[in-house]
Amino acid sequence: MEPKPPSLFDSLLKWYCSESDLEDLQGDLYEVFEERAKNSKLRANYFFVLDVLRLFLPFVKKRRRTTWLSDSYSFNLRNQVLVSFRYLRKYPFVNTLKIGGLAIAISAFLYISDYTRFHNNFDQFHEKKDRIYRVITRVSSEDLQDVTAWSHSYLKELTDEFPGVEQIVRLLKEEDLLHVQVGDKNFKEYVFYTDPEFAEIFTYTWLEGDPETALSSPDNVVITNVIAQKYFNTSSGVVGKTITINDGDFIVSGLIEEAPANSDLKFDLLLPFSDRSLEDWSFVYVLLRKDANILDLENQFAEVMGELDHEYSVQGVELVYEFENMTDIHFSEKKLYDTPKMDKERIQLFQLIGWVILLIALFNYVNLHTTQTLRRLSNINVHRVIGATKKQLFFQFATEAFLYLGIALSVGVLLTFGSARLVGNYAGFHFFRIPLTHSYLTGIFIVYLFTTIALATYSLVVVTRSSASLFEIKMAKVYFRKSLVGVQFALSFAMILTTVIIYQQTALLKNQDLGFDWNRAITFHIPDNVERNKAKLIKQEIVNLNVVHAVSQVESNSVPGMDADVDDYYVNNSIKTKLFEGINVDESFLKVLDIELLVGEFFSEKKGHKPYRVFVVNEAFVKHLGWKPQDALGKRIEAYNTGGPIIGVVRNFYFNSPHQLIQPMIINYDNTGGYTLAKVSSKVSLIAAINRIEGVWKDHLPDVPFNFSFLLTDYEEQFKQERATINVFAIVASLVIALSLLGMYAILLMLRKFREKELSIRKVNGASLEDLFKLFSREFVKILIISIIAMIPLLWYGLSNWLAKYPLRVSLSPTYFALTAVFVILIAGGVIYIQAFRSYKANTVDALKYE
Amino acid sequence: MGSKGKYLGEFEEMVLLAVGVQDNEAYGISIKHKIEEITGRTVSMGALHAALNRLEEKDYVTSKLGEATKVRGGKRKRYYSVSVHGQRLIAELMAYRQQLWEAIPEKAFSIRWTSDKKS
Repeated sequence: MEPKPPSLFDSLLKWYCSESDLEDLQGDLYEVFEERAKNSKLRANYFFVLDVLRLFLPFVKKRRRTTWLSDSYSFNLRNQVLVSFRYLRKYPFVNTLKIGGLAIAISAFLYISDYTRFHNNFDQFHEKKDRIYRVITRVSSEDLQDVTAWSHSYLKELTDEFPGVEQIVRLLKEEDLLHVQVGDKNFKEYVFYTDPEFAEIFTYTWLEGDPETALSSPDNVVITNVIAQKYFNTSSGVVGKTITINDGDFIVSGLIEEAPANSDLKFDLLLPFSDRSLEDWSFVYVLLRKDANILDLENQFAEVMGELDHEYSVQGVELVYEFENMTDIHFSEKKLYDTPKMDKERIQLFQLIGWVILLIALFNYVNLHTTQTLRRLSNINVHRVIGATKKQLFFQFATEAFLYLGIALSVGVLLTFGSARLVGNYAGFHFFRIPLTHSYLTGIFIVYLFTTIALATYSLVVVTRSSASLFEIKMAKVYFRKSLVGVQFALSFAMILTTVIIYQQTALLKNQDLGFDWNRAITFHIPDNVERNKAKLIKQEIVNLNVVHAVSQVESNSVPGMDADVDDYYVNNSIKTKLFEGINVDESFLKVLDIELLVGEFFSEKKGHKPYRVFVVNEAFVKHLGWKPQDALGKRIEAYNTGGPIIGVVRNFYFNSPHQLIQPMIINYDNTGGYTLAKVSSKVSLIAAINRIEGVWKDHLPDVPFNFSFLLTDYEEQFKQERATINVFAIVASLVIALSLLGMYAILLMLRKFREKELSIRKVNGASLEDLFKLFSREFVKILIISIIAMIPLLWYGLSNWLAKYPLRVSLSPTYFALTAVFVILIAGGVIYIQAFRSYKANTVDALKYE
Repeated sequence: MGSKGKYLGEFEEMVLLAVGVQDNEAYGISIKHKIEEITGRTVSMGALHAALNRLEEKDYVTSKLGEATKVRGGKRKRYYSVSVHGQRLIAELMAYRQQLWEAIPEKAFSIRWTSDKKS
């Protein structure tokens, strides 16, 4: 074989040298090369490279002098656009499929990326976000492992003890709606308590007031612009005005802009921590010094807190302080008393799906586009014969791609914004709340341009290569594409199955027997500043109304759906305390929620039970200690400096939500709780009953608005995220199926076009519709089955991982897999049948009369 | 004559002459070899092709592509020949030189050149 000069530099020469100079220059170089190569190949290569590099400067200039712009034929935008539109009009059906499919995928991508962007940017607006950490507390003992999102409030006073800490700010959300009075208008609001140094850590936009001093006095309040609008009908000049919160007067000292929608710390009013509101535990945020290291801080904490927590460790309880960066909080593990969470994997999965959809759609686009390009091959070849250069063809293709992709993009964007509200309602998510950033838009534009260029280059390659051996190349490409169609169907299979499993799992959780019944149960809160006697009185009067089944007074932690308290108890004369979840309820609790008592009895005033002198536990508790329910009766529990025997065991019930396991639980007797649970009797209408209850409330608390909620509504709220996920998955799954069908359609169309004559001859020889169907499906059946089978282990792994999070879960039955697979294959068969039918109905003469 | 348009660099002149020497058979490599043979210095491909392009622009040489052969990777050669313009230019240049050369007094040069210098 003749030695060849290094191809890389040969192409470099081709690239920079103008066409008119290229041939003889290249020839000269080859000649010298061949001569030198006779002696030494290496030397020849070396000099060739050297020459190519040396020739660069003199010749690259020449290249510029004859750019395509100066050549009127090669760049005539008007004609190119005209031609593009002609092609669009010539094949309306295929073009609609091609561009429409892409537009829908772009729309889906925009939706998905908005959703993921929303969650990925939670609380990212704080300038110091990389240095802000939340202190969380991991509580562990022999019997209980728990982690709370809270930490000791007194950490604030220890700020100077930790060299790595620049500032500490606490935040505490008031559990109840507070009653706000502005002039003669009344409002109910959620408020946050915080420290005066709030603005040193968190970056909010201060519209009015001095961020440094705004919270320095106990009668100050900072409000958001939205609240200002609501209270004063203006969003400026509100500093200095007075509002009344729960009978106390507060002066507005600052006005801040409301936090973006994707923030977990959403508040309307910000009050300074006062003695009244200072709880032992609160959210504690530390600002790390610029030069400090979070690992050092963890050690400092362990050192300082180790001594302070001595009393805990004596009792066998270990507290470990951990730090969560502000930017990670949204995705972190759900803790007790935590802010809302999002599943990181879910977001990543969505992100992946978004890209996959876009890629599938682009791939289908390319397939349909290739068929079309090959259809006009003769046209293009005529162009080439009369002297069109590759450059000119490239610009023609690029113009077309730019226009078509541009149409797809615009239609996609219009579709998205047109349907945002509808889709938002269906998916349970408010889309496009956060502004599009420059980098996002630039990103889209870059992808657009890049795809345009790639598509034009690809078309050029198809056109120039296929002149050699048309049929073979075309067929090879068809087979390659078929395998990718297999991938698409595997993805459809995966999407459908995932949707089905998520649906089944959610249904399982939702229809789970919770161990209690909260139909027709309402709850309302009697403010803390109301005398406890009054609460009892209200309860009694409601009972007397004869519209309720039962009424129970419980503590705030004891309303189903809340996080139970975690406290230490001495169980069965143990020396060390044990941590258990506990709720504090009165004697009617079981009756209100219809919880079953297994053995023993429940609290009863008549039987002489005294608060905190008797205890009831759940089944899980008994099981945890290795007892039988019967054994538990009479065992002693001590807590709160009081103690007494266990008098009963209740059947397990899901106190929090069926997403978690049932924990061992101690039920304390307490008849002074501020929350009231009432179960409306089934004989009266709910509305009438609630109206009468409100009447009782009004008699006793005329100044406080009656504010109740249905337990069931709160419970259903827990499933909102699941339901939204199912809905989104259903949409996405149907999209993926539609796109896969489109992809298959494109391939079949291509096959039909390439084999038009063959098919016609078969028909002439008596092939029936069935024969054609067999012929077509033979191409796909194998690939379809292989790809689906290949998908199964992957899906199995992914789904069982996802399900592993739930203590209560559906089993991954093979039936699901089989049914879904059959469904996918049936759909594919349908598309094949349609194509076979069209081929069968086509006039054989049209294909054969050509010559 | 001697107007600006007619100015030729030393190297360009050499190339023009070499093209003339190989009348009709001159192409890149052969020109390069000729100059290297006579002057003994290495001629870079870039400089040579740049010079040829300039000469062609100034209309002193014309070129045409030859037939494709098996060597040179199948690339055609570009054969150069001196145009009528070029021939006239060479003749003029040579005439100027000759005049100046002759005008040099013999004593001024310590080096004795070839015998035809004297004549």
